[in-house]
Amino acid sequence: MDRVEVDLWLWLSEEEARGFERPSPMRAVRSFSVPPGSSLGDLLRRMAAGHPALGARLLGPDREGWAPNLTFILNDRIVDPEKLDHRPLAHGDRLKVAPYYAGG
Amino acid sequence: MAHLRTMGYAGRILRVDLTAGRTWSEELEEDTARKWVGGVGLAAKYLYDEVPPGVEWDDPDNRLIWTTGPLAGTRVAGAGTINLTAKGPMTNLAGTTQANGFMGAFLKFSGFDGIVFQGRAERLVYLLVKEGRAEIREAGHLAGLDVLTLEDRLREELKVKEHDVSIHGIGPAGENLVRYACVSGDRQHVAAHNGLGAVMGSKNLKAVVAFNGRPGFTVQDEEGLKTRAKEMVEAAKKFGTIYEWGSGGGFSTLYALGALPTRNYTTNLYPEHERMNGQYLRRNFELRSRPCYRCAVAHVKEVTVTEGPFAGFVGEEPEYEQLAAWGPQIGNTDLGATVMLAREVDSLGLDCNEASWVVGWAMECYEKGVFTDRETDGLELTWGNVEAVKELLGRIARREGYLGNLLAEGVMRASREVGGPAAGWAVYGGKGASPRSHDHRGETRWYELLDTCVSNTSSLESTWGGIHPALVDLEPPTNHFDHHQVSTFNARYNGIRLFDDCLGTCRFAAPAPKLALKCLNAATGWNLSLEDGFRVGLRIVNLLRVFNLRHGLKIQEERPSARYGSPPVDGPAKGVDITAKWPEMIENYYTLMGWDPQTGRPTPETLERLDLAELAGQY
Repeated sequence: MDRVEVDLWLWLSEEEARGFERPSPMRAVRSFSVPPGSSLGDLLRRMAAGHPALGARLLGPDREGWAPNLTFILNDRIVDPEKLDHRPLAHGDRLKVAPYYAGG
Repeated sequence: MAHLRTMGYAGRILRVDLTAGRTWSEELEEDTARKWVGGVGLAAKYLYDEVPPGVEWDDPDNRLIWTTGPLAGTRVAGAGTINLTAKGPMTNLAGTTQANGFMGAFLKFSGFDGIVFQGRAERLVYLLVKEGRAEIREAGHLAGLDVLTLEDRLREELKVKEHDVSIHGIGPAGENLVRYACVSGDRQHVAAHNGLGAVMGSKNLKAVVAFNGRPGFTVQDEEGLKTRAKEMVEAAKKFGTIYEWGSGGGFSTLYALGALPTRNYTTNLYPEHERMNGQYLRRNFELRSRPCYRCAVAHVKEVTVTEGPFAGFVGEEPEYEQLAAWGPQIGNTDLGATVMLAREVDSLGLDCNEASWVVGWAMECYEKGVFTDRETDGLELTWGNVEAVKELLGRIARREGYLGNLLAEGVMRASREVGGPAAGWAVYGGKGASPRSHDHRGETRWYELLDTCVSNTSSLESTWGGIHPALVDLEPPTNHFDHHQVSTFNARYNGIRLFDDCLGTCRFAAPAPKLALKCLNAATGWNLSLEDGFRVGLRIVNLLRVFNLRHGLKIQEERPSARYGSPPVDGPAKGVDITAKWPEMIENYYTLMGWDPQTGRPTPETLERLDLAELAGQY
């Protein structure tokens, strides 16, 4: 199995962050094991399925795609939300999920 | 004129000759409105036609042009934006900048689509516009006032309430011709870029007051506009984090991307970001909504600090740029201090971007011994010393002392004056344009770095950072650190942003260009497509490009300063180097923009395609 470190910068509620460690109110961290060959999309769907409250934050309103107000950052690089299923994971990868930026 | 007044326009432009002390108005022609739409487009046309080469930014013959747009003052949320344009002091080239609030709407209610200021008043004055009339009034008693006190004093003098008028003016920075002085109003809304507050100061013009009133215009399809405006509000509420957390909601995301400006680009490590972002502010400080004109997004808040040494302080909730400028960029880790400094810089009338680049550079100079207590006149400019920063900002605004006067010239000029290694520490675009408060070396920010350096507006012209391609049916780049993809994307995206800036709307309340087009078509009865919108925007880009070429633009200056373009030394983007292929990026960008790849000059074919054939041969 490949081990991926997940760090959610989403100010999750207690319910949403169940099963995660909370180093701060902003963050929820946890290690996930995924079968070799899994994609980033696979991991996120697994997270959503295992944590319904978290799933509601990760998934879009129709629950078919990803929430539009999120940014997915794998090993310090952004992954296009349209390409999550095409992005393979490797042992030791680090995933951050943070709010979408539209600044000013 | 009567026809334009059924299409969202007031149909008249106010002319103000400050030398002669005279005002008059002229008709806005429908052909002009169709070609340039309003806002930045209309202003660019006046700038080109009336400011010939040889006129400097502080010359009385420079024009200061205030324009609104056909959607301003309609039912579109947040449609109170005002555009300002002039030849500006940071670049000595064209400058365009916008402020939200109410001025764009109230100017139109007062009977005008724009104001063109020329000349210089003999003594300090302000302009009052109401019900189709304009009056130049004495403002000597307002000299030296900061902008917030100015607004209070004028409302008291005119015996009006908060939203009876919109007031935008300059503080001491503008009066003292600080190169990055801004125009500010409606409680800390700011037209910040390229020092147009100094242009206003050079004309001895302290403020513009526009009265609220009846619209005096209609639109072609009121029901259609109502539907589209409602759709736009729904789109805005789902766009990014603005609705829920304000523009500061992406602060930590930028940190994760190596895009938070920290200690003058000397590091990208700022673990305190979690207590300095929009979410922390909104969860822990007290908030009161202060929406702009008809804005249902209402992201503008008044904030009361609830913790730390500045507990009890009341100011405007800092936008992302202020959070960055007065947080990581100066090594500050107290959010209340950020609120305090944001209010200070706005009330003095300084652009927060350039002010923070200047202060950060000065702090680095102090750290490294280039500035000692002698140069700082006793100020300890250590990282995070917010009281010293507050004092320094005041000195800059008043051009007091060696350092205040030096830094009032902006970081490019100040660093060149000081010379030595310190000249290599300053963050700026080579033409003098001030970058926004991001670390543009981080991921998704290369677009803005390139844009800052090649823009013809002296601020961002083309992109929002390469992260909204779907809004205009563009394919997203696959690698935000690919030189070719970044320069291609900037060229392909260019046009729609300036089109947006023609309309009189706020980009946060109206983030969807296709919906903005539908609103415009409903108001005017036109049938513009997305392609038409791009075309209008590119027409403006190229008009300003030719203006700048005629006014001395040097393409070798279209590059970042050494520090601005340096590879980050740590953080997520460590070692990534945008300048490694800078000439290739520029050549690709120029080519795709329809400009000569070697000279950056628009080709005659490009000008003809954009209905600007008459400009060929003028540069």
